[in-house]
Amino acid sequence: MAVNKNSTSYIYTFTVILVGVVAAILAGLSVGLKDLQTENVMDEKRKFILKAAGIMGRDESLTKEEVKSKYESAKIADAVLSFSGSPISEESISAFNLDIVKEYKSSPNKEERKYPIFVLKGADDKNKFVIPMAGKGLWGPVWAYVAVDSDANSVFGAVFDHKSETPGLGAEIKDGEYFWRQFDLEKGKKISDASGEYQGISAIKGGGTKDNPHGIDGIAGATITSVGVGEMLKSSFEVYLDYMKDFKN
Amino acid sequence: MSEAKESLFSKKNIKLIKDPLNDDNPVSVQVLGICSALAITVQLKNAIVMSISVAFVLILSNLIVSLMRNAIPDKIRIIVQLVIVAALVITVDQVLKAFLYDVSKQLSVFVGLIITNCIIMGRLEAFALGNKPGPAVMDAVGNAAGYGWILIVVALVREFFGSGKFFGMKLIPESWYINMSEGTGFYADNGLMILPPMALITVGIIIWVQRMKNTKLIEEN
Repeated sequence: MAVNKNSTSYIYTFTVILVGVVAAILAGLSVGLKDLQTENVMDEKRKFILKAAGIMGRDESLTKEEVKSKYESAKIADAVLSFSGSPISEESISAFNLDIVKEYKSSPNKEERKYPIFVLKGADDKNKFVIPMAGKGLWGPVWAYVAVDSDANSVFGAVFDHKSETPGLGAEIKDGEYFWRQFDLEKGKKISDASGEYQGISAIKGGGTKDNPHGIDGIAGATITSVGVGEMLKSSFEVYLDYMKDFKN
Repeated sequence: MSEAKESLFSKKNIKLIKDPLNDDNPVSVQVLGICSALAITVQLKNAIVMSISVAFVLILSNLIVSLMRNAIPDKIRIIVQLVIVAALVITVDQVLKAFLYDVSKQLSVFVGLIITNCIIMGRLEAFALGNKPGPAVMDAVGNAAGYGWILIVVALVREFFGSGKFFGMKLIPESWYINMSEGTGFYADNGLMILPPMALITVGIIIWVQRMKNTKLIEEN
């Protein structure tokens, strides 16, 4: 049977069948893999929080189950704050399930976003805080989990990540040890100055010196990523300040 | 039907694999797929995973298009190819996200960009549409390998000179590096190497060396 491959009806039939088959395959794939994918995302989030707080080593590779049990044994409490700094107590909102990047993109208006925070007990039995934050990189969003000590001021660890920064340049915020080491406790970075005034942390040229507690070095060759990360670090702690200061053990 | 009996590894089919490695290399001779060669060759690891992903998409799309070649209407063949390639790319992306989450994050942008890799559309148009599945697969393997080895060589050079590393391992001892405060060391990484222009220059040098050795590639005038 000869079919005219260039007839309109053949083209339509062919297209409909092809699109139908492809759509069915992709939909099946998406549904079938969804659970695995969400589990991966949650596993990653647990790792970020544990690594920022120094409970899990940076290069430590643990299975998902090990990460989960570590996370659960750390007894991490959490809260979601409004822009004014007061906790939002709605059943439907959980800090862990809040996507910080989506929240950042949800509104250009800072007042309308929600701000999650995680609280955990350190080795000295005092409360430490892990603050998620998001900002703009060159090609897409960048985000971080920064750990703040019980004095609600000293930074003692940070984990950075990004969606699509260039490897070797902007991606160094995640891969470059020299970059995230700047947030170690002994580097003495602080979010408020001696008089208690909020300062944040800025990424500026020469900011990485020891005598500047509110500055870090950016990344050479990745100016726009550095500026984005700097803006994020500069502004993101302020909302949490009162909550952390008032947190009762 | 003498054609049907032709062995998959006949001289003609072997040529399909060998040609793209040198005489008809998709990157250095046809100058296709350059944008991804510039973008992801800062580190060897990315270059290798990218080569594997491109190979997967190229081989399967060549196979599928070749199997469907008698059913695809000419008028909409490009869009049909695009749908097939896009579906395969999404499959790769979803599978990586479910089973190799870390790798998928590293490649996030680049996996999506496989759709626009000229090599894939080029091979579908030029070869798979007019050939049987066997040779089409051979052609895809050859072109994927031709693309892959250039990527890997460029990444090797750029990672070594740009960050002193091989596969993420530091090769150049820390003590060689210039340390301003202590006044020691004599070496510094070449920062230009990690920027895209040096990838182009590296590809250019590969083309130069290749043409020096393979004089048939040199045009008459």
